[in-house]
Amino acid sequence: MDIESLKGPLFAAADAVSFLLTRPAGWAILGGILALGFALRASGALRDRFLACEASGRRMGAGQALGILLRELYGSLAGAVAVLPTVAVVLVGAVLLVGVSDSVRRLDEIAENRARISELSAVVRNLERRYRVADVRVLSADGRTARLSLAFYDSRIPGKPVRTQEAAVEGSEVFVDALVLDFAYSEIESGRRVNLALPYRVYGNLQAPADGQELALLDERGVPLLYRRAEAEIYGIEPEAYDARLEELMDLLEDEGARRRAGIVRSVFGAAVRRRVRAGDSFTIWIEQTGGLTIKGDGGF
Amino acid sequence: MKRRGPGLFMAVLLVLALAFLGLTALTALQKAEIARLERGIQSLKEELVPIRFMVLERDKGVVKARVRMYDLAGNEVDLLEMTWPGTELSFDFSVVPASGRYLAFPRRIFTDRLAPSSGTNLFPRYDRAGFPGIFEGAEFGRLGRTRLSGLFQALKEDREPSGSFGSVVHDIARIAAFEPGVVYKVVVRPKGGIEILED
Repeated sequence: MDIESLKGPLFAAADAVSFLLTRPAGWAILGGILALGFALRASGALRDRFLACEASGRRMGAGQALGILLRELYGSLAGAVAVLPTVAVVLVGAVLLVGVSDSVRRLDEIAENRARISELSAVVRNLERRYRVADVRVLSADGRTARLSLAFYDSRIPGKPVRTQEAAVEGSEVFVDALVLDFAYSEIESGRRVNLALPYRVYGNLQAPADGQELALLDERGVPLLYRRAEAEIYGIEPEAYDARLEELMDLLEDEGARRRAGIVRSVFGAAVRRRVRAGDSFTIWIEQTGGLTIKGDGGF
Repeated sequence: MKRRGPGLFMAVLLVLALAFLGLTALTALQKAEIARLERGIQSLKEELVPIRFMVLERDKGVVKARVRMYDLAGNEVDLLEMTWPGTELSFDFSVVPASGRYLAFPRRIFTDRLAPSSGTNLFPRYDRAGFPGIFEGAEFGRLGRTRLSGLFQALKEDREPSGSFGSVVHDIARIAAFEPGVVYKVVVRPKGGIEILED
């Protein structure tokens, strides 16, 4: 027999018992039933005595009626005392029924809570996650110019850079600028998407960003170079699916209407991280899944 | 022969009671864990808004914008209305780790045609006798206020506290330009990320 199908009647019976034994309305119903039983018993006795009196041509007096009522009350109380052990067994059985029912409910609740904890833990993990965007190494820096080596990463292949490039900037502070696509929290929490950053230029504090060095963001087809792969380099995904995902990404980046229609993008904006640099320094740029770029966990400063 | 019924019955009752208590305790622990995780998620998504801005005009190679700075209670700290050469507006912050989270100090505004070093310095605009006015509106205590003032002083003197970095957010004319007349907010996340959202 399916255990689940037993739960309904068990819970209903336990709820009824619980209601009758613990709520004032339940007490009133129980008291009402007892009172009704007594009233029926007393009225039966009165009616019998009344008929007997009538048959014998006598009138039944008020005192006689009161005496019958008292006798029936006494009889009822004596009967109740006699069945007390039975009542106690019934009460204990009722308590057991409620206990078993509540335990089964607790077990169900524990299973639900376990699933909820697992779901929330996954949400926390997804939100706390950050992905490496680029490693920056300072090849030389004299306060006026800085030469950099940049290694860029794809979030799906975190172990090795997918592209490296050298660049030079003017100034003692380096700005690594990227296009950032932050997805809606619902997408990040579920793990369906990860926020993206596409580095596209570097500049220094002594030059206007427009005069910075481009990092060749797109190829001739408009696809970010960071995401362009030879077929042999695409692991775990069909090349057609990979291309479709790239096209979807480019639609989201280039078309604000598509972004709004998709309803999955929280914000698209430019973001740069900045660091004052000396020759030999190195640092890592991350994209946070709660939003934005950061520099963390480097020991170069 | 001794009757075993009542003893067995009491034992069953005791086992049931203990099982129920154990299950209830486990449920309470799970509920506490769920509450902790939900608080954690809320705090990860928490946002502070130190700046709201609106592009008033973008024409002939200049961009005019109105920028408002706010403290932690949402009170306006400063209002700035300026014109800068260029088209893309950049907000530069110094981000400093403190007590397990990150604090963002608005540093300057520049554009794609204006070098950061020539940008508009924002530090003096919320300097309140050495204390960064954008951190008013919350209870830091005397020690906290002294530390914040110390951090602010270091940033003003161009000294970078350990673990700090700069974070710049801006529009990109070709893909995502700030629309004139629309109010945007700069949002600082507890993990140090900064983003721009339409308000």
